[in-house]
Amino acid sequence: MPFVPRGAGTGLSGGAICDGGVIIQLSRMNRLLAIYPDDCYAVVQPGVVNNYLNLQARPLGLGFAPDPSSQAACTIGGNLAENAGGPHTLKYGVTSNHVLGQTVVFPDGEVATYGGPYPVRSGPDFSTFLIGTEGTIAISTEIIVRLVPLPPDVTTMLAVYKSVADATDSVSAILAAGVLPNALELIDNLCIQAVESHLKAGFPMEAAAVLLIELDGTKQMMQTKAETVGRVCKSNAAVSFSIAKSEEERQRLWLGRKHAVGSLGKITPAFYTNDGVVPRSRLTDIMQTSYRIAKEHDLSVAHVCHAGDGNIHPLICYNPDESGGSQRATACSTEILMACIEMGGSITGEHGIGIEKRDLLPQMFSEVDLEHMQRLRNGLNPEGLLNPGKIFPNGSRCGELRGNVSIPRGTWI
Amino acid sequence: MDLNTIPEANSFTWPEHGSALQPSKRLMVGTLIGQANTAGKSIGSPGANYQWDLSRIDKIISFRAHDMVIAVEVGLTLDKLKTLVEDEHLWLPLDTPRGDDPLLANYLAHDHSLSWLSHHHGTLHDWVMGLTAVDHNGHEVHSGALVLKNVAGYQLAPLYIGARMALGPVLEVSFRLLPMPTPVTLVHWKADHPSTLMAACQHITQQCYPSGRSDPWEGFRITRLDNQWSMDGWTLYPSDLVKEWTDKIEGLEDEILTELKVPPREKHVGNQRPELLIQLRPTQVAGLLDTLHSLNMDLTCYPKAGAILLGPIALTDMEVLQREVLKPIAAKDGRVKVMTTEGAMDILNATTASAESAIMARVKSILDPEGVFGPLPEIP
Amino acid sequence: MAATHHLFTPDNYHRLQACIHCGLCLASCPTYTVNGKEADSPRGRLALMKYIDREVEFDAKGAFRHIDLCLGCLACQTACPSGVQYGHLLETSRSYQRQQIKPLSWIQHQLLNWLTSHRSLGFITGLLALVQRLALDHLVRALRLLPHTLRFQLAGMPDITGKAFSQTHDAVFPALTSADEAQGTVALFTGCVMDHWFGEVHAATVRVLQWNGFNVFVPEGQTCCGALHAHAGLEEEAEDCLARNRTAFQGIEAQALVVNAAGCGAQLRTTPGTDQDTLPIVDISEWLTDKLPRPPKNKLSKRVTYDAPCHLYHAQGIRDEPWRLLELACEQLLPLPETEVCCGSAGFYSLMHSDMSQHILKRKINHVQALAPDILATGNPGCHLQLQAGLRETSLNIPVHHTIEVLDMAYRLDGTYRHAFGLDD
Repeated sequence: MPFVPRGAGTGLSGGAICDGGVIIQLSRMNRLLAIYPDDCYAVVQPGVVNNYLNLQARPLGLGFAPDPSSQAACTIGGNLAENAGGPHTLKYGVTSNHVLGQTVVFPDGEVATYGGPYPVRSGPDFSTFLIGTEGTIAISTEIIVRLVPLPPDVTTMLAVYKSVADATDSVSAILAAGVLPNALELIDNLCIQAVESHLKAGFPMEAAAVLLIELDGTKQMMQTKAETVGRVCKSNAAVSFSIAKSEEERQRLWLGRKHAVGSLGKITPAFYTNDGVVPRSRLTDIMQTSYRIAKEHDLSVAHVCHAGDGNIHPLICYNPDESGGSQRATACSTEILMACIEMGGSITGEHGIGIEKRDLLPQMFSEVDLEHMQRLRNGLNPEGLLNPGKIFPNGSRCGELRGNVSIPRGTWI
Repeated sequence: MDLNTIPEANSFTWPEHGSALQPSKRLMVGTLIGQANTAGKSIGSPGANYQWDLSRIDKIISFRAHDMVIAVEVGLTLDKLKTLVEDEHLWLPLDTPRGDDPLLANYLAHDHSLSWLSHHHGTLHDWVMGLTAVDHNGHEVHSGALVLKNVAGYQLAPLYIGARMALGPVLEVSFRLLPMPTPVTLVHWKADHPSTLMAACQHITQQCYPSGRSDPWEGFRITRLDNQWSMDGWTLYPSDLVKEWTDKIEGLEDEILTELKVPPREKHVGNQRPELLIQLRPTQVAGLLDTLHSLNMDLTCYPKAGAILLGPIALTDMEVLQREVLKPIAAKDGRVKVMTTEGAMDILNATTASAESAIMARVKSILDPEGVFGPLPEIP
Repeated sequence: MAATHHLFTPDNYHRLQACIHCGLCLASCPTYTVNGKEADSPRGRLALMKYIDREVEFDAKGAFRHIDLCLGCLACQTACPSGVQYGHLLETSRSYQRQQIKPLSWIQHQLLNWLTSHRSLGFITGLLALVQRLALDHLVRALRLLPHTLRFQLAGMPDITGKAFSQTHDAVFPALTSADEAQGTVALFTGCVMDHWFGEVHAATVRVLQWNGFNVFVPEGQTCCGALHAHAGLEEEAEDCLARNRTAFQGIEAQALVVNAAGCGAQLRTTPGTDQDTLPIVDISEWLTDKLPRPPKNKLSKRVTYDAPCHLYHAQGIRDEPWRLLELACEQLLPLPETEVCCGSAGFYSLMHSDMSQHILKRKINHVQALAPDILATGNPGCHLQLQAGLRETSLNIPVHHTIEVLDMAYRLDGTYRHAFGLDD
């Protein structure tokens, strides 16, 4: 009988969906086993909620860096499965940069521990390989996570734009100016409307887009950088640029960002959250393309982006009760993702493939590539009982799914 | 596939470009690599019949400075790659403790990336975004992408990094990059005893950050060579500030402060060639350094990264090392890894944890069922 | 597909659809935190409601077991980014349950009836007072005579005088300040259990209001707020309470109706049909925050912590105000971890689902124990009873007090205050 591991069920690609079989619910394995503040790591069970770990580590001056928007509910085990990111990956990296080791159970019941509490990884690292395999190879039962020292200080800035293109152009310009913010987020008008309708986060309603930029470090180091960011934003036609004056204002801005996706429920009966990545320099292109594609499908699309990473989250608003409504949304979403690939990007940056995008995977990888990956899965999960049907397209359909999207050289496709 | 039908002399090949290997040729190359193992100066293990020299696959595939990513073929050397990105005011925060300037192929195969930058910037695992390898049929296989975030499909890089090409050679690799940090201050101290250096390291950290957990040093290492202990470090803080921190520390001789415009490379000391890697928790490092001091071992240590590189190790030292260092480390959940295949490493019964050897063997049997590539050297 | 609704009106179904299944509510849900079952999370319960509503062949009875286990703490409403009106959907479902699936048990029905009758409640109160006077409650607890659930309830009881506040006091209390400091007149909502068992809280409320220049009066004819009826799915009875109260408050001349029980405040304030335009309904802590011209002169030299009642924190969004009052009243105010998480009381919940209730309470008590305060403040009778019982069961000698009582205690350090109210003995 197939079995599927599941954490809090906040995933966005259907990785924990079980079509017959047994769900292994890990949410009760929620003990934080130990924190070693001087060695900067913690040992947790997979059901520990991301935010809980952070709350426990904070008094010690430490934190767990991956912070997906669902961090209030999502589990560390789930973060590992999807290699979760979040706004702060730009500087701190994704989950795979913050896991030092794990104890796992293979489908045949074998238990083994890989990695350990050493701060750096050297040589082949099976534990790191497992991160992002969406629970198709083994189930983690104990995880050693790296905790990073909290920055001495943070500065959060808000830049407001009259056009989305100005905002996206600023993104590349900020990094080109040599500043590496710890977060660089973009929220477009439709999302601002949704958020401000109930949260009053402080985003101007008339803005076409805002950038939420955060720096961290010591005060003296941040000051010159903040000035640079301000200058760059202004020279890219920002209508206003401001620095959060209080911790409260800062928290409110971030609350607005974290609730942006959920708030959309206020203005549309349903929406389809997607996840695509492009090289940062193509951000302007992909945004314009996505608005165009949505328009062609007679739908509206809202955006919250981890702009610094080139990671876009188009939120396609549609009405499921309308006939063909959801089909139109799916078609629109697929077109946007194809555009991402054509620009040299990827169909998912942090949500995973799950069941949602398995049929799109052949657009990114050749048959040989997929065969190679599947050889690993079939070898380590021989009867295919663990989380079947995820990531890889159904064998019989594999051939027809291969698209004719032209892919730039160097994107590994 | 019949290996015997391929004439030896004709099958020796220096491909100019990974993608130039047409499907018909690929099969042959794959076969060749299999027989050849991966020996000699660029990649490999001894006793191979054939070599496959990757040094001519050295093109830049894609370098988009604005996106802070680069994709290259593995025939480039690390130094060349770093210079290349520095010209665009970018930085690849990887270095090597060894004296040579490795081909990327070699660097990836052995994962010699644990360096004085690792406590802040990690190792190859943290900077490789994707790679192209050759599978056991001689086909190119891809994984990863050229964007900062990507979770499409399995990421093979963690398995291939440091696998000594036993899963197949890597032809192309992509890295993410950082803006180049400026300005930098380079510091060099000497001392009689490692504890002086460790105390200084602690002192400076606390001066800078009250929590004592953030670290002002971008690069930091302690070395012992010919009975002389020294510390090299560099930081983004200006030299007058660094001087202020270090002035109060006693017991340090010969402090040299230099201001630089670009991040320095780690300079290897003497004829040091690390042979063993010891990994443990940072808080255990000071104790082990004391032991090694009393054993008169040459070493390079990255205290915050919890790593000590030992070598070269004389045969006569093996027994003492085994008794005084390696066994106690194993008892403390530490781990010991053999860094090189040369030398008398057979004597050491010190390898990575058996679970990891076992899983790599399993992965190898899955990806290379016929054993056409070289063996995983760490498996006893 | 023809849309047949079993449970919801199309409007309510639309409210249900606001849920986007993001799961952000999960970590905030006390029952999910305890048992980790999706069906016992807000998202799971909403899904069950949807199935009950839309599916013909569905085990509604089984589904309601999970919906029953909901405390109604509304922490999920605070967490929800889409603004799903969970509380409203829950009450609608429970009302449907009472009519279509399973009527309320006889005993629970009786208990609810007693709340709306001063005579019945007075009788029980008298009985309890007698039990306490004879120390029978200690005997029962020591000899374990009753089931644990009941013993536990006894343990939480405050000292009961036997008479309700409204029966022993005047209906009008004049302001105790000079005319130029007078701030006007407010009405006090006395409620059912509050009136009979927590008379001291009412007394303290009135004193603090008087001392700060308010005339206070208790409108006649008021009754239970009906919150417990509504939570149990007795829509009609709840509506009935509301109607009686509406009549009682019709045309009275006051600036506001002051409520000092979080549950009552939430019910009176958020139920559609309450006449909010003419008479604002306010919680005492909210009302007093910016209306204390005479703050306490001395602070209690005690370590105090505060547990936020769900119906104050989540249902009414009153979060900082009680804290502000306590800051005025005590020297050392300790933040309680997870203060916004339910204590497991939830009306009759602690009786009906005592297992779950105890689990949730245990976590709360552990937090309190770790802080080891001298006083635990809160703002709702249900929480008050539950927390006090939990602390006594754990042999922790920490008294539970209403926020306003703590403020009153600080005032009482002042001789003139004591003298003014004849509290010198």
